[in-house]
Amino acid sequence: MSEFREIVETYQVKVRNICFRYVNNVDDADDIAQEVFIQVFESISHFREEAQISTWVYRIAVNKSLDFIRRKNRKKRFAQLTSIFKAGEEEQIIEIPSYNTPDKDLDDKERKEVLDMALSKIPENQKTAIVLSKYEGFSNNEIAKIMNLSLSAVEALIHRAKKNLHKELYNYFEKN
Amino acid sequence: MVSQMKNKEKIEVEIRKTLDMFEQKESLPPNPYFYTRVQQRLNEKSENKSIVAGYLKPVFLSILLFINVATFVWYFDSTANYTAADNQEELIQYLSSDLNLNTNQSSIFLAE
Repeated sequence: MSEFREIVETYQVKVRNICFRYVNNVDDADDIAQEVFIQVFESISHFREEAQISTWVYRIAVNKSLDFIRRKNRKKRFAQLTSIFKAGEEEQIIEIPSYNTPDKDLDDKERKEVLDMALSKIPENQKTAIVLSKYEGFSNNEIAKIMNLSLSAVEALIHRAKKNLHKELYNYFEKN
Repeated sequence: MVSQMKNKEKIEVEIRKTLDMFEQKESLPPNPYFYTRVQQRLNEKSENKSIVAGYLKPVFLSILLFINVATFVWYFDSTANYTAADNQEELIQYLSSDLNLNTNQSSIFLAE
């Protein structure tokens, strides 16, 4: 058990932060991170010693975070479908900041929301690559091990992610 | 044309500023209670498993007992026909119907 505790204490910050990049909510990130370490505990016997434990733990964190988002999106789609049949119920609208005055600067919080919005629109694997690179500071080699891809595949993903982010942000600022 | 270009430049400036937010990454601080919470969830999970196993075992044993009793009753019920048979012909009839044999196949019961 003390070995497991050591693993938790060593990786909890990074794991929680990786989860947070996906869900932008501390409670959800904590929940997912707990599930990550539960899986680590349950599958530690299957862990192949030739891989780095950190890579393995971060990979579980990425997969669990993506699963969470997919479940959330399914619920959202189901809720949208059922709301058609429910009259008079208010829809929860998530507002993205818009600014009508060109000279007004978005503040950092709003700008972060715009960036998160753009990130949510790019493909999952591109998002993963760029989040791990830009937010978590992993090298492309480390990202390749976490995502189980070649180095060139990761570099291509990051390149496409930047391109798509630029496109999403351009569309956003053009409309606003 | 000029205003369009200026607009594009402004948009590019905004995009750059937005992408710069990657540099202002806020990190979650360490959670001192995190390990405790993980331990709690692991304990809850193993408790749930033993509760389920606790219910499943008697249910499984009951089903097993029922099958045994039913087989026992069915067996003696069917053999009752054999002992109740008055003659060889009736016995062959009972055996054939139990084994789904036609008249030709029933002859296997006749001694050679």
